[in-house]
Amino acid sequence: MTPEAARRLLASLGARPVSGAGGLELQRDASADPPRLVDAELRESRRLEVRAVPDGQAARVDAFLDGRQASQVIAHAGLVPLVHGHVGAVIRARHDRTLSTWRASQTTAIYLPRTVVAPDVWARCAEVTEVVDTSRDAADGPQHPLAWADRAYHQVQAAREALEHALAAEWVATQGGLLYVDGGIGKDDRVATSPQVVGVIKSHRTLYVAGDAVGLLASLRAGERTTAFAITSPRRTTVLSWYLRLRDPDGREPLFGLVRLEVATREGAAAGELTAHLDAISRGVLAERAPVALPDRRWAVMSYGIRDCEEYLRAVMA
Amino acid sequence: MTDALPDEVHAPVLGRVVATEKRPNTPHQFHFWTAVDAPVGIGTIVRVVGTHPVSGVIPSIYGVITDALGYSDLESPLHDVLGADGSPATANAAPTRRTEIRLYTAAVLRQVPDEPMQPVPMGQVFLADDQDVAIALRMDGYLREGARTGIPVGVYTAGGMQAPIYLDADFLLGPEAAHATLTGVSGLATKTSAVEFLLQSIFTHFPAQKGKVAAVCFNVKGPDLCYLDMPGEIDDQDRALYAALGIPATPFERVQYFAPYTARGGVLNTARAHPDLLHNVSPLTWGLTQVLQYAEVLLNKDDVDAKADALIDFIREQVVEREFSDGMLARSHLVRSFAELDDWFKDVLRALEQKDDQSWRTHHVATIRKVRNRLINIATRCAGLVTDDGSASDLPFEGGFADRTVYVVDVANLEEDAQDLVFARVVSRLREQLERRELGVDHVIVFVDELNKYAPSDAPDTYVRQMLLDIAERGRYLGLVLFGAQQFRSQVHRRVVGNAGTSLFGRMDADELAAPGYATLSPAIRTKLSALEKGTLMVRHPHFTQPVFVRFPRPAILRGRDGADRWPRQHDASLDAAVYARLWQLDASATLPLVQDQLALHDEKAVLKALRATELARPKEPIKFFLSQLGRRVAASSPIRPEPRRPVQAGPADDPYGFGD
Repeated sequence: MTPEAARRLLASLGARPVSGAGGLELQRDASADPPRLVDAELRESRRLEVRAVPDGQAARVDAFLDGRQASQVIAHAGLVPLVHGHVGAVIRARHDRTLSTWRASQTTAIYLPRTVVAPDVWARCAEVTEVVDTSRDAADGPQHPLAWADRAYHQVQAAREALEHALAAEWVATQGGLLYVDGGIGKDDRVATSPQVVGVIKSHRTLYVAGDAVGLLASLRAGERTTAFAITSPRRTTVLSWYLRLRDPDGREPLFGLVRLEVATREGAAAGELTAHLDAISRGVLAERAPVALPDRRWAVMSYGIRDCEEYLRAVMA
Repeated sequence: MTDALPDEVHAPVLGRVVATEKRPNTPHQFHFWTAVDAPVGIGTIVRVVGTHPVSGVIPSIYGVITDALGYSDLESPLHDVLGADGSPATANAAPTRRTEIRLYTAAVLRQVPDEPMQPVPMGQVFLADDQDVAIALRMDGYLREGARTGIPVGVYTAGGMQAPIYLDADFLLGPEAAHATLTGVSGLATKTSAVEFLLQSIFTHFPAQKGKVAAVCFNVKGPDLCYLDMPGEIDDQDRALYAALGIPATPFERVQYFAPYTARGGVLNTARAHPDLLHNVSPLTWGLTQVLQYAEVLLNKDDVDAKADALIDFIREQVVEREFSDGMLARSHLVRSFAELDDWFKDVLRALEQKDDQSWRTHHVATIRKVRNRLINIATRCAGLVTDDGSASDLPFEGGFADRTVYVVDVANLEEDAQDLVFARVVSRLREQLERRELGVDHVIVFVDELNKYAPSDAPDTYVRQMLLDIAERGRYLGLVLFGAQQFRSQVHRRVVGNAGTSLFGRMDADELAAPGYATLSPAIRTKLSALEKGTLMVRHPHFTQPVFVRFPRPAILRGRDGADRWPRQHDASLDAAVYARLWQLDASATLPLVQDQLALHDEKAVLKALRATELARPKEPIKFFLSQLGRRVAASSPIRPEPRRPVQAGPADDPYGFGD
C-alpha cells in the first residue's frame, strides 16, 4: 500500500491526514547515538597492530546485500502519529562483471499503537494492509507523541533488518560465493556464523579500540588494516572484526576511507591461517574500491556494488 | 488444447518505453531503453505494444529509431578518472562494470488504430518483423494480392532479419506522385548503381496492367552506363538480396545505345565503339531541321535578341526543308543542311551588298550576320552530332519504344552545349510522343545525372532547367518520370527536388548535411548518412512518414571501369577500320579490302555519307546499298560475290600480246 492510499484510508477512518511530512529517517539526528569506545577482545595479536595487506589472492565477492527503509507520518489520531513504513532489501549478484538482482524483497505496513487508536481503525487497517503495533512492549500509561514516532521508526528499521537477514540467510543456505553485506552481520546467527559473508561498516559512532590504540587508527594508510578483534554482545553473535583503510585520509578527517569489517569467527584456526584469511578478505574489499561509488557522498567507504543495491532499491521503492 | 498465444508472448522483448516530465512521449515520438547488447541502432524499426486498451483495442505503435543515448551512473568524467587512479589501463580491471543505459528515441511511423492519436504508452518494445515493417511503412496498402503495386527498393535489415521494402509504383511512376532523386557524394554514394538496380526492379515488378515502361538514360560522364547488358561480378550476399527482392540477378535484357560520331566522323564517340559491342549501338545524328527546333538551347540569350529570334523563326518556317526563292537572290534554295543554310546566308548577304541595302525582308544586315554566325557555329560546336548533309539518326520516337527496355544516350564525350541540345531535344520528343500516346510505351523514366549542373537553384534560367522543371511539375500526368542524381541536393532547384515523390540518399557530404533542408533529420541520422556504407540508402517515400534505411544488391552489370579495360576505346582507329566495323554490323560479308577500295576511290565524306544512309535505311542487302550510294565510281566487281577474275588466256605462241583478239 502506498503512503497516499494509506493516508486516504486513515482519513476515511477519522484520522487527521498529514501531507508533506518528511521521512522519519531525515528527521532523526544521526548524532543521536552517543559516540563511544569499546575495548574489544583481540584475536589476532596480543595488542592492536597495523599491518599492510600483502599482495595475494583476493577473496572474490560474488554478491552484494543492502536494504532501504522509508517511513513517514501520514496521519494523526489525536496527537498520536500514524506511520507508513516501506522496507526493502536486495542481493545483487555479479556475473561477468555485471550486477543483476539475485533476490529482492519489499514490504509496506502501517505502524500505529493498537492500545491508543480506536479499535475500528486498527481493524479496518488490518483488513486491507499489514499493520504493526507500536505499543507492543511499550510501558503502560500515556506516552509523548514523538515517542510513538520513535518506536515506529525503530520497528521499521527492524523490519528492514529482518528482510536483509532473510535474504542473507537464503544466500548462505543456497549459494557458494562470498556475500558483501552493507553493515554488521552479528544480529543474525545464520549470517554471522557463515564463512560466506563479510559485513562492511562505514560509520564509526562506536570505535572498538581503547587507549593508545585510538591513535593507531589515524595512522592507518590505504591498504593497511588492524589486527582482528572479537565483537561480542549478549544480543549478537560474536564475530571477528578489524579496521581497513580503503583510501588515504590526507587532508581529510582521520576516519576518511576507514571501514570496519566483520566475518564469522574461525575458532581453532592457526594464527597464520587466520591472518591469511583476513588478508584475503581485506584484499577482496579493497578490490571493490573501483569503480568508485561517486557521486554518493559516502563514496570513500562505499563499494560500487552497495551503491548499485541502493540505486536498485531507490528505483523499485520509489 | 490451448488458445494461440499473441505474437508478443513469443517474440523476445527488446526494450521498454520510458517517459519523464523532462523527456515525455508524444504521439509522434517516444523513448525506450534496451539491454546494452540489443541489436538495434539508428534506423531500426520497432513495435510498441500498448498496456491498456483504447476504444477496446490494445494499440500498437510502430516507430523508427532516430536518436540514441548511452550513459552511466557517473555524474562527472572526473569520477571515473578518480576511480581508476588516473590510469585508463586499470579502468577495466574493476570487478564490476558500471551500470550503463541505452536510451533510444524513436519517431512514430504509424499508430494502429490511427485514431485516437495519443502519446505512446509505456509498453514493451519489440523488434519489428516483416509484417510489422509492412504495416509500419503503410506498405500493406499496396502489397495486397490483386492490387499489388510494390517496387522493391532494398532490404531493411535489423537483428538478423531482412524485410523487403517496397515503393508504390503509383507514387514512383505516377499518376499519384512521381520522380525520384538520388543524392550522395561522388564515388561512394552508389548513385548510378542505385538507379541501375531500381530500373531492374521496376522492369521486374511494374504491374503489366499499368502499361509499358522504358527508360532513357543520359550518360553524361564516364563509361558507367555503357555496359548495362553485360554481366558483372556479384557475391553471394548480393544474390541473397536479389532472391529476397524477387529480382533476377542478371544484366538488362534489352538495351539500345545511341551515340554521336566523333568530330572527324566515322567512329562513334562512345565507349561502346568497340566492334564487339556495336551490335546494339546506333548513331545519334541530327540534321538542320532537328537542330533548328532547339536552337534556343545553344544560343546565348544575351546574343540572340527579339530581332534574331524573329529571323530564326523565319528561317525555320520559310527556309528550311522547302524551296525558297526570292527575286533578290541569285538562285532558289532548298535548305536541308547546315552547308545549304550557309549557302543561303551567303546569297542573302551577297544580294544585300550588291544592292547596298541594310535590310532584307525587315531583317537588318547586322542581325542576319549575327544569326548566320551563331547558327553555322552550331555545326562546329556539335560536330559529330550534327550532320552537314541533313540526314538524321534518332531514337525510335515514332512508336518504336519497347517495353522494359533501356535506351542509353551516350553524350559523355560531347561538349557541354551539345549535351544540352541532346537532352532538350530527346526529352521534348519524349514528351510530345507521350502526349500523343505514340511512343510505344506508357511510361518513360528519364535518368539524368548531375542535376546540380542541369537544374541548379542559383544560376540563370536555361532552356534545360525549364524543361526539367516542366517534367518535375507536369511529367507524371504524361508518364514522363525524372530520376535525377546529384551530389548536392540543396543546390538543385527546389521545384525539381520538391516534386520528387521519392528521395534516396547515399553517403552524404557533411557540408551538404548542414544545409537547412536536412534540419528535419536528427543529428544521429545525419551522422549515419555521412558515414553510410556502399550499397545502403536512406529512402523517403510518400507512404513512409519517416525515412528508412535499406540495403540493395550490387547491380549484376559489368562495371564501367571493367568494361573499359576489357574493350578499350579505339581512339586511334583508322577510318577504314571504323567504317568496316560498322558495315560488318549490318552485313557480315563486309570485308576490310572492300572498304579500303571505296575509300581509295571516293572522298571520305562520301563514304561516310553512304555508310550513314545504309545504317538509316537498314536495307536487305546492305553492301549493295552502300555501294549504290557511292555512285558510278564504284568498282564493277562486287566484293560480296566477286566475279571470278578472267584467267589470263594463254595466247598463241606467235601472238603473246593478244593482238589477234
